[in-house]
Amino acid sequence: MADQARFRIFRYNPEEGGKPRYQEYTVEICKGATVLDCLNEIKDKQDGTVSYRMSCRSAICGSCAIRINGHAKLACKTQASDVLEVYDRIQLDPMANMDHIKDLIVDMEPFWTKIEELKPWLRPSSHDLDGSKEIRQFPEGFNRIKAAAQCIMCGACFSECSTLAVDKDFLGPHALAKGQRFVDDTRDADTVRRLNHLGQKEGIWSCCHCYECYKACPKDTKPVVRIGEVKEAYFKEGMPKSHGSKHVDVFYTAYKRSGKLNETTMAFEIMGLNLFWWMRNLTWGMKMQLKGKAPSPFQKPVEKIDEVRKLFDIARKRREESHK
Amino acid sequence: MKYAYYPGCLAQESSTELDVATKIVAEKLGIELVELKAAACCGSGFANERDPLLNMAVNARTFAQAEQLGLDIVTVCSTCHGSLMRDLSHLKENEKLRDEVNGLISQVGYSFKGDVNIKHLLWVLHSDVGVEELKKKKVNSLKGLKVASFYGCHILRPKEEMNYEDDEMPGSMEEIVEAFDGVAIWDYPEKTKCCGYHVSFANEHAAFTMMANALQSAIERQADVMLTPCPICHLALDTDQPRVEKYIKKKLGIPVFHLPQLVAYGLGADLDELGLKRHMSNMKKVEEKLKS
Repeated sequence: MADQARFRIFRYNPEEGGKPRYQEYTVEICKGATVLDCLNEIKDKQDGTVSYRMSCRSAICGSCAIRINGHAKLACKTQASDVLEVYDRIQLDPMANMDHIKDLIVDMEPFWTKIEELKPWLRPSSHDLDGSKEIRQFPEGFNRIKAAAQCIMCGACFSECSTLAVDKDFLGPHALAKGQRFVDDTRDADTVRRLNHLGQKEGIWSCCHCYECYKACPKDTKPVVRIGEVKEAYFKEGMPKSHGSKHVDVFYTAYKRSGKLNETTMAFEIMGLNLFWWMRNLTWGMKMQLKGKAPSPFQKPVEKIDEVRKLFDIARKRREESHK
Repeated sequence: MKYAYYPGCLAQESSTELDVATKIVAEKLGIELVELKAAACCGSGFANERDPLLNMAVNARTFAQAEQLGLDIVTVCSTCHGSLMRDLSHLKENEKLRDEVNGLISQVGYSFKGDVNIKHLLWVLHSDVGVEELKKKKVNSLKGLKVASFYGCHILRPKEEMNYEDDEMPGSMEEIVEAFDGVAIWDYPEKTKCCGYHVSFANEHAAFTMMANALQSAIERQADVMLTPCPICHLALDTDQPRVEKYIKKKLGIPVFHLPQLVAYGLGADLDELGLKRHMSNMKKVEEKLKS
């Protein structure tokens, strides 16, 4: 049986010079109807001027990513009835973090530029390229890059990224995940150059761990997890330290110290002798002291800390052996 | 009700007021908390980026300690919650990984069986205790107090691991606020956004802008206070508020409560017991409002 669904769609046509506005439509929906089915119904039968991108209708091409009630999703993978379980109407907007072209269509130029900057192709060593043998990849090697290789470049993670929303220079979850696909590819020999690019301030260290990209991704690429893997590779390669890498190190080294984060020494360990930073934060730091928000740097370790320290040593030895 | 209590680092260090308020809430509701004093840091989503197996082994040791007590774990920090939930679900799903991690923690005398669950205090209050029970135990009213609930990230996402409430339209904190007659601001779009704290060292501009957006949006909605279930969000919204004000060159002055502080007050705790003097945001006005 068909139900009625109310749609509120973002409309914008720069050629008409008008301001962006919302237009309402009502659609009869059957069980299983996707948001894209509904959009097609609106375009075919009610208003042929509504513009959006679409192609495969099977969650493969990545064309139809739009914001559905404020969250980027593939319109062809989202059932209208599921949306209506949470919301009383379906609001459709163009993806965020990109400029509008018309209605639900956005300009994906910044998305592609950040991908191009990666040099997103395999760069094997000259030795491997001499043509004398096949460059093979084994299942365990492929499994390491499978998740990132599944990316369909829909832009949903780019749209929802919290850091991109406030810092347009951030490389973005899509490019960082694609970076992991090459950094961890056993056939690629350009690891250090890639890690230098991905490890810049506006790269992996500016990911705020919000998991919006994880939620938005329709293909299990889980960009935030891939970004963590790039950081792992960054440490394995012994790349230069930065504020971001030192922040990670503070948590890692806590296991060989007290077993807890030391918030007071953390700032010293990360910011070092950055006098500009310390001067800027002097009055704030003093207020923290007065309020009791700056705990003693001499922490009491967690009970049975020897167990944690032993695990730290075991793990370090394992890692050192695996690097040999 | 009895739980293995995992306070996390912040509640034992910079945010002891959260630990104090949690214990008051537990006492008033008859919840027994057995503190996991030997549990180490959850890794905060960072340690795993250096050595995921070590981080997982440390967390498996924590799970094994709770299993020895035969209790589920309750956390008061969303990031602890998220990190522990991530490792717990991986260990439960992946037998090979479980064996590998058990091989590590057996060297310090532990074994993880997979018999433990993790709950955030918010979920315990909302479901195990229940909103109706909170209403029955209400002593102090929050009448007229407009509260913007800020959930942040790690209590909502990834939804498959959290599996508690809708990650786009959560409402558990609003329902708790209403249980104590408070005015919950349901229409607060920033409530599921990131507080920005995790990049406050690596990208100050991004962090302060995220913090400012969350604070200003609550102010625009005429909130008297903000409420958060996470001490990291509290560090961002409360402790860093003076830095954000300086960065955006604008006075904000909105008080930020830890979830159990407001609940403890509703259950009859005196405001002076709740460590509000440790907050960096201006609490005076709201204290006067509540006392009147």
